[in-house]
Amino acid sequence: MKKFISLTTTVLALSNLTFGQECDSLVNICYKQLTVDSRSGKAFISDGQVYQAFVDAEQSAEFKVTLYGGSTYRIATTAGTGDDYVIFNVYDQNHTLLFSNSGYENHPYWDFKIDNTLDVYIEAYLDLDKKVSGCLVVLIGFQK
Amino acid sequence: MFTMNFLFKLILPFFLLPLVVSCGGDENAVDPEGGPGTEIDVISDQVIDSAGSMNTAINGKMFSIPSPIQMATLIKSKVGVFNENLLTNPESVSAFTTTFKRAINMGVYGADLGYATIYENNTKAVSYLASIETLSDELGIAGAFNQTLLERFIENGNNPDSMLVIMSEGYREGDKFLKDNEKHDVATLILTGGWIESLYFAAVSYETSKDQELANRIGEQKTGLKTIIELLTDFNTDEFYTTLISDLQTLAGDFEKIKFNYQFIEPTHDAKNFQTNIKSKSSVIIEPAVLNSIIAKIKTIRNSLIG
Repeated sequence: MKKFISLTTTVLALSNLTFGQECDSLVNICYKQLTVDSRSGKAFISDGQVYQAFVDAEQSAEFKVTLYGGSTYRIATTAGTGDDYVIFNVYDQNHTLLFSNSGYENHPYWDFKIDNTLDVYIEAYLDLDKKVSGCLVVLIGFQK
Repeated sequence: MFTMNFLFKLILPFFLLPLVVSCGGDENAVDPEGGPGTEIDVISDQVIDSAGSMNTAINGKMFSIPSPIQMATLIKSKVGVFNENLLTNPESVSAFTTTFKRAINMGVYGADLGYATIYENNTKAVSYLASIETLSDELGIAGAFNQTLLERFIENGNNPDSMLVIMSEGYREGDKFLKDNEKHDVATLILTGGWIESLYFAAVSYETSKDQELANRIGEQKTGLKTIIELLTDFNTDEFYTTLISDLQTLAGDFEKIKFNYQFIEPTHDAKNFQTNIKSKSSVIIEPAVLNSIIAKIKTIRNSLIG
């Protein structure tokens, strides 16, 4: 039993360190998704916030965002070296689905042209066929 | 799907407990009245009550607050003339001696920096960035706003878009550093300062322009305000933010009088360009008296924070 507790404590401590390191590198990977085609004139400016969470099977991260009319936003996600680890859904205020990247091979980023201001819920979770747990990062950028 | 609240309540405390035990000295509550030496250490409470206080410290939420840059962009499209009177004094940085004031005004300066950059007033912009670097150091946000970033900002002085990207990089790095180090309260204060300053910009700009789009944008801040109040309340275990929360709740009372209409329209998707056009319709109905009350309140709140 003592060995189990000791092992568990060690694993948890290492997991904690690993989580921080994993998220750190993932934010940099995710940020590249915001700027992937900046040379073609599509420059997205980060909203200055980092949305990151440790998620496990059957868990998701969700947050509410106000998207302004007349703007174009990019939502970028990552959870590892593969581009298709994260599924993200965008719902309106009534939880009507507006978009899911699952219909587009889990594409790691997607742009949203907004005609009129609205509040949306962004839900992100791991595609369990590809990854079962780990750090998940979402970044939001907008075009000036 | 379980939500993040589930995760934070049940799993994350177990992962974080070893870190708090080993690195707990970094955990400080933010005292708005006290000086640098008066910050209160709350590690013990968190270690003892890992199921309750830990959730408060971590907060268990992901949240989003609108970027001040977008507000400044709209203002420039409506009011073409740079208004220096809108901005705070970047030289006031030495007057901010508490973590609360430093964090709030780091957000305020960020909004001022965005405004000056969008209006291509580079001299002003650089002065704010220099002050932000100072505040960043004082808040212990290592590496977010360093000399390299300042130099890159100056080197791109002929390209406002690049300057905004560099500026947002600094704030993103700062936000990540604070969240990684469990200083969610400081991260929230920075975002709150930026939000208040940008709403102040919109309020004063509306007074001079009477532009309806600016009025609508003010009304559209309802969700952001609600998020800020919830976050500050979560971190107010020591009641350091009670006055600010009370002021913001009074402001929220005005926002409750605004009517919002929303109609779902089927979006269209362009797979080739990885883009969706969200076509849903919405409108804001805001009475002039309510708008004037919001403007008066935000001026008072903002001016109480920058002194």
